[in-house]
Amino acid sequence: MKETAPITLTIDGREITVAPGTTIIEAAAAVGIDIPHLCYCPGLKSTGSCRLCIVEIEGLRSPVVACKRKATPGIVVHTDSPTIREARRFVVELLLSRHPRECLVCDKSGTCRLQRYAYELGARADHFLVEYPNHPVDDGNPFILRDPNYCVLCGRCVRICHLQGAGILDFIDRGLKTKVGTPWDRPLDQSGCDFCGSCVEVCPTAALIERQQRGRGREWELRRSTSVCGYCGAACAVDMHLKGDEIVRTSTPQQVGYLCARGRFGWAHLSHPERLTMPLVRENGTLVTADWAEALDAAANGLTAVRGQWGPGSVGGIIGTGVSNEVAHAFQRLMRAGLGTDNLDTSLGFKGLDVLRDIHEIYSGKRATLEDIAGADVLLVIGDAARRSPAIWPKVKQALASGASLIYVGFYHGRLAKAASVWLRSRPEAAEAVLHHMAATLLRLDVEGGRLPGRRYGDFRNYRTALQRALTKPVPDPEGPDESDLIAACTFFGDLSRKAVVIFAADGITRGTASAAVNLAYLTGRTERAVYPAVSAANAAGILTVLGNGKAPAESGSRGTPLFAGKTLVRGLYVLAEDPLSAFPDSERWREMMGKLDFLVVQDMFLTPTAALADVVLPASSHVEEGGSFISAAGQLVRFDRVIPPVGMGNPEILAQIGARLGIPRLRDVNDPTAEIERLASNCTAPDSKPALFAPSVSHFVVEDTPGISLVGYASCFYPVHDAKLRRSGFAELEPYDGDGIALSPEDAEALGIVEGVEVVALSPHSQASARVKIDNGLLPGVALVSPDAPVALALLGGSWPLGPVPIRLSVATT
Amino acid sequence: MGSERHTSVDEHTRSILVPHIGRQGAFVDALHDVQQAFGYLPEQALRVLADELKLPLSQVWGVASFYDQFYSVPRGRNIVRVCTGTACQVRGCQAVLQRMESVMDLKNGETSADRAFTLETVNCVGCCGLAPVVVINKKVVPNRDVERVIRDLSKGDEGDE
Ligand code: SF4
Ligand code: SF4
Ligand code: SF4
Ligand code: FES
Ligand code: FES
Repeated sequence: MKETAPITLTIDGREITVAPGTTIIEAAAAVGIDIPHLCYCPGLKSTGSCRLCIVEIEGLRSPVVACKRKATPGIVVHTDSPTIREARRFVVELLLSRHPRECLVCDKSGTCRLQRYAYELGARADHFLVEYPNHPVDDGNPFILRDPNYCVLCGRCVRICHLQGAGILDFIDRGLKTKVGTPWDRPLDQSGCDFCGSCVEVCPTAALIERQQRGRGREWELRRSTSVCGYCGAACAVDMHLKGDEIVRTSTPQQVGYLCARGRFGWAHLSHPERLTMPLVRENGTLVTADWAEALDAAANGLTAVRGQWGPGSVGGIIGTGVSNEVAHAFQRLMRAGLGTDNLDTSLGFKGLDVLRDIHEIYSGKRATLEDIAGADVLLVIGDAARRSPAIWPKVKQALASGASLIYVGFYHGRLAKAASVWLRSRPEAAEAVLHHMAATLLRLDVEGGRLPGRRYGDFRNYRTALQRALTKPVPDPEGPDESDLIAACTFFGDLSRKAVVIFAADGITRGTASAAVNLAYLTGRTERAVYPAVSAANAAGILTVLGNGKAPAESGSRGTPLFAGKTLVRGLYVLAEDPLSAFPDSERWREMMGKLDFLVVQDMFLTPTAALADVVLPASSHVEEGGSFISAAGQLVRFDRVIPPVGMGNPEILAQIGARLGIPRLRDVNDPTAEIERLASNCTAPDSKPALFAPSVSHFVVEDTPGISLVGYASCFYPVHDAKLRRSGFAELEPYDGDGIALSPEDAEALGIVEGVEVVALSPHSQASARVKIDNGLLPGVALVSPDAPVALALLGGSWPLGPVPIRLSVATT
Repeated sequence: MGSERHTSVDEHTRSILVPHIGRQGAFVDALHDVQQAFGYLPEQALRVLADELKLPLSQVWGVASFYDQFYSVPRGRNIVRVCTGTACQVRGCQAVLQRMESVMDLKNGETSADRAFTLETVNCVGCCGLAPVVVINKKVVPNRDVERVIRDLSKGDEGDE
């Protein structure tokens, strides 16, 4: 029988009552007694290896390890007796005998636990024969400096890397040569490291440090302020450690929190030398530095002039999907109330707008959160969601560690496929069909019981008929899942007692796949918190909500068409935090359109290719310089404070100033539209509708008989290096082919006689582009990959965003 | 890192692993069998092993690097070991090692291109009385005979081919 009664014990003369199962170190911490520890790390499993946390229990002859030993009723614990201190000093002195004594110049000085305990225990450094290990240092990547000579072998990094990272660290070698390393002791950048930096955050010494921190400030000089990462819809909380107004390093506010590489290391762009600090105005054909008033006048006058000459419909605006709700709100007010135009556009048109809008309309329940994923019993992951929004990965791992079953639908033999209980292989064009087959299998297995809640929905008949019709077409993939895989998947997913979450990236799958996925949730009665529509854009949901006034915007955001198609030709354009020339497909078309404009204002952090064409360039701020809110992929309103002042005027003030010039003096007040945004956000998460199944449309199944290779935009790593901010934060170094890589399976490469690094010309129905070949063992034959927003992806996938797939032909480039 | 799929290594490794799949714990046995088959632990074989046994590659490597009897590089058919234990240190093993390096044209830890020989050091083989000690294929070879034995072995080796 499990003991449930609370336990009372005494620690250093203080009586404490704790829940059963509490360790002595936790009990002590609860009353503010901090027992020295190295290997113990709250949030990670204890290993009891360093023996620094030993304490005495009255009546026991030898000391016990406080991070492992559970509290038992009535024990009397002494944490700081002379014997204990002596024993601890011995441990620390042994460690010091192999530790470089570089505290004078060490970046960890002030937070290093070894230093702290050496000081507190009065340890002498030369008590033992000094013998430094002399391990080579790993400094071959832009982010993490790994110097095993400072390592105390506490194993925290090993545990956290397996808990939420790539699982590449472990103790290697033996005896005095023991160290923490990767397979074959290779540098991190050659070992599949995610650069999540989790290991850096928990390392108690300088064995793992942020490279960018080096020499830029030690802990006592830093202040800490919490903000939110702006690189994907997960909206992870980030603690910024600041020296003055500069971000020296980051960490998570939680004990064992997660940030992916972007959230942890993606901040150097804020102080990049190329960052714009002053406005630019075009004079006699060239952009020259101007003062703020002059530039703001020029922007307001230019837009007003276009409106005056051609009417309000001739003015338009494009807004980035990473800006806050508040900035988006001010921007749309400026365009709508100030200039009288409804021409608002975003990149969402080709990055998941349709799927997001569908989900908004069809999934009646609250969306799942990341915590729901961690607590699920069954996970159905479709495609590359866990790469587009990396915070999903540690949650999936967490669920797996507590026994969840994972069903992965996709074509990539990577970590998801390896961790999956069932891998439903599907080429990119077949994912939707595979999900429909899963639905059919669920229904078939359910025939006698008739238990599936979906059967009770009014539209079930329609649905079933359409499903049957759709399934008369075979799965368009000869190598697709077989019957037994489908049955296995349905056995997990069809178990109604298990909490299930369906995960996909809104910008990574087709509409048909998304609604087939939602159908699976509905069929099994999972109408609440069972769908997690991840999204790469930080504030996709917020932008949609704010621009569309809570309703899905009818016209906005569809690939530039509202702006440039039809009769109303846009002649004056205001682009905020977006770079259509480099980040939109059809860049040539955009260049042409921009060339025809009478007037262009670009507000950006850098002089992007689009900004270089502008008449007025205004230096933009980052969300961490403003404060505000996002709406996360889970549909939650996430607020954040300003942590550093903007370089220049800052987006909210710029918009208010232009607003004032356009005759909306109160835009600044509207800059704090908290109540309105809250109202919009709540609208966005819980539409008032009943669960309904979506009849599969047969047309989605028409897959042309295209033997050969289909190309797909797929995130196969955690860092899309084509992002202008990430590029200027060190990420460019991680990508060998600079965005022009095309990944091929070894089989296809061999058949084509192509080896790694060869330059090829790829021909898609949209365009032709040259790319360099990367051979990827994880790929199924017949599929080629490009990073989702790499230039080569924008060119080749052009009209078929977000996913393709498009059939391509490859030939070796002739030079 | 290998960019080609090593189909034959993959298949061979998989067949070796059949009896080990689903067995908890004793993957050291699997490592032994793989090393038996290849003479060392090829990288691709370890990757397949990790996948098949559903273990993190880092853990597989951690264990493989822990034991001295596992080798991650191909080994010679003949193993020449120079003892560098304390007694042999005292009796000048460094000079012996240097001589062996020049005689065999190999550095400590290396294997000859034809895989005939591996030269390595060992820590006390338990015959300190004979120090400095050289062990060739598990036999302690008296100092004056070492070069002759090596010469004989390389001849015999050629004869085999
Ligand atoms: S950065 Fe992340 S993946 Fe890389 S070694 Fe550290 S914990 Fe592991
Ligand atoms: S690198 Fe740091 S966290 Fe990892 S074992 Fe060494 S001291 Fe501990
Ligand atoms: S998972 Fe998304 S929100 Fe979290 S740190 Fe990474 S990019 Fe930022
Ligand atoms: S902290 Fe308890 S043994 Fe290391
Ligand atoms: S030291 Fe060489 S045999 Fe013992």
